[in-house]
Amino acid sequence: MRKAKWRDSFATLTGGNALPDIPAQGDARNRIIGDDDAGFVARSRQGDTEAFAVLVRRHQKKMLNMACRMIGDYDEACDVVQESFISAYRAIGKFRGDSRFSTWLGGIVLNQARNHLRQKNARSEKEEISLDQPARFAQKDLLNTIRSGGDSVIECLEKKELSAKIQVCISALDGEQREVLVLRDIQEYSYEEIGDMLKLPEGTVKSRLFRARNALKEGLLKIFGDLR
Amino acid sequence: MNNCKDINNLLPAYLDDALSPSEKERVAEHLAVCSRCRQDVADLSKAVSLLHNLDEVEPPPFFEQRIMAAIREESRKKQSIWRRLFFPLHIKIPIQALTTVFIAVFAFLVYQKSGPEIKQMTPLPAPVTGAVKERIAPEISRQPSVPATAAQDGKAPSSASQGQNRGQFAPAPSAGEGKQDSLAAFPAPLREDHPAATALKDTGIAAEAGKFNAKGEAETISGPTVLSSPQSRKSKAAVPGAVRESRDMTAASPSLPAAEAVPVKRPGLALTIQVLEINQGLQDVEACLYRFNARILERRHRGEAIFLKVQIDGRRIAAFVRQLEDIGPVRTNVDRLEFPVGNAAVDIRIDRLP
Repeated sequence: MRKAKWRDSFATLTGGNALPDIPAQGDARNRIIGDDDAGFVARSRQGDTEAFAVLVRRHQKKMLNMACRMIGDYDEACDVVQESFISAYRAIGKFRGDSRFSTWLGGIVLNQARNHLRQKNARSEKEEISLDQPARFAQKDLLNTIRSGGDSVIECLEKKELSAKIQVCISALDGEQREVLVLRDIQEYSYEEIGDMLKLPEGTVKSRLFRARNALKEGLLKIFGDLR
Repeated sequence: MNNCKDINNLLPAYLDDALSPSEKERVAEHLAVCSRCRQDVADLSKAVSLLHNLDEVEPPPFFEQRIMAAIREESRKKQSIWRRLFFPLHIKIPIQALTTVFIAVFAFLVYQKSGPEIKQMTPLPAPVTGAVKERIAPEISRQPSVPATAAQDGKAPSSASQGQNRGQFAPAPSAGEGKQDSLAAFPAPLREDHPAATALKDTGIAAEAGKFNAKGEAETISGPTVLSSPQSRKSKAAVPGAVRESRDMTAASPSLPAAEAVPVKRPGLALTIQVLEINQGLQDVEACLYRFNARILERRHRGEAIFLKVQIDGRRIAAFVRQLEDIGPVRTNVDRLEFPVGNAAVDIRIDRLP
């Protein structure tokens, strides 16, 4: 459902495409995978920043969500996503189209998020995540949602409080479990794509995901007492 | 027998429909009878649905523009570095490549031409000391005014000053030397048809070229082994003076039949000069070499003696030896001091007078 919505938004964004797609040269894999980004990737590889701007427009939200869930801080996630896009632009020549562009980009965001968290942890001497303290990004997220309209302020507050608590539980997970949980249950990547990003066999991804779900459930039960 | 803990571990896979049919059946059977595990399934399902329903965060305003500004900056930086290095002009790469090739070829040619000399060359004679300088300066200043007299000067030196003059201005070949002038036509500077060599061939006596000691002591100078006639050996033993010795040899050689002359490899010239004081002698010899534009290729000290390997114009060797005689008694390993045009290698041994 979410994915369909996401694709629709892409369609509206790139509907009146000013930039014609260039078919990737001899990129059979791309045709098999059916990556909509292949043409823009090919143009970006030739240094066309406008083509890369289309890729940024298409993927910024998904990448920001992924980074937010991984890091738990909206501003930091924005910085990480920006860095990830710059890294992707630098390294786009190395992207051979073995996977979708979004999978490749997701891998870069994942790595950047990992590095960011590692540096952050090194800086702040293992700061304990307090269950009473909502994640920082939740407040910004709240403002964004209110701005976008729809729900009433009360509903928004309730939703955001819930969202913040879930985020706290996600952040409390072990790093490896958090990654698979975010990639599968929030970003809805396929097991194969997650395996590509994490360079793990599918079976390992699944077992790690199932352990992560159990751990999340335990965390949520601690906060809410009852999930029904 | 199904343990709740085991079933609990299988529940996420059960919900994901990732269990084998037998495991799936086992879990279903357990759930039918265990209310606690049913509760776990419900909680797990709720937790996953909470994740699925999490609201997406929106990018901040102008996020795309911010990213693209950074990327355009990056692109400009990358391009400008690239351009600065290789494309300020569209022809820079060919120019760089051609220049590199040209420099490489030029360096190779220079090395090939002068490589061995560079390797062998020792520094030119050390700055001339005061005394030597005084001797050199007036001679140099006199040079332009006396070429005619130098040419007129005969062969045998009669005084030290005459000898010096002769040394500076290479003497014109005399009538007697005319025969040897034809040697210049020989391809190799150190090859000649020497009448004495024929005699050596006949007698078949071998001796070392570097043996110059008047007392008959075996003192070798680094140099090629050559054949020498018994007459010359005799004369060496009898007469210590090198000039007289060579005259003996030249006197003896014309008596040998010229028809039997065969080409024999002529040895490099080796000189021994005896001086009162080695260092002063070295300085004098170096000054002399300097005057004759000779190049010192090698300088070695062995015991008290000093060995020099020098390169000098073959036509000026005779004059050079005469100059050396002013410094001290000189002995040579050849009977005639006539060499063809071109550089010739000369070994000089500077020894203390006994």
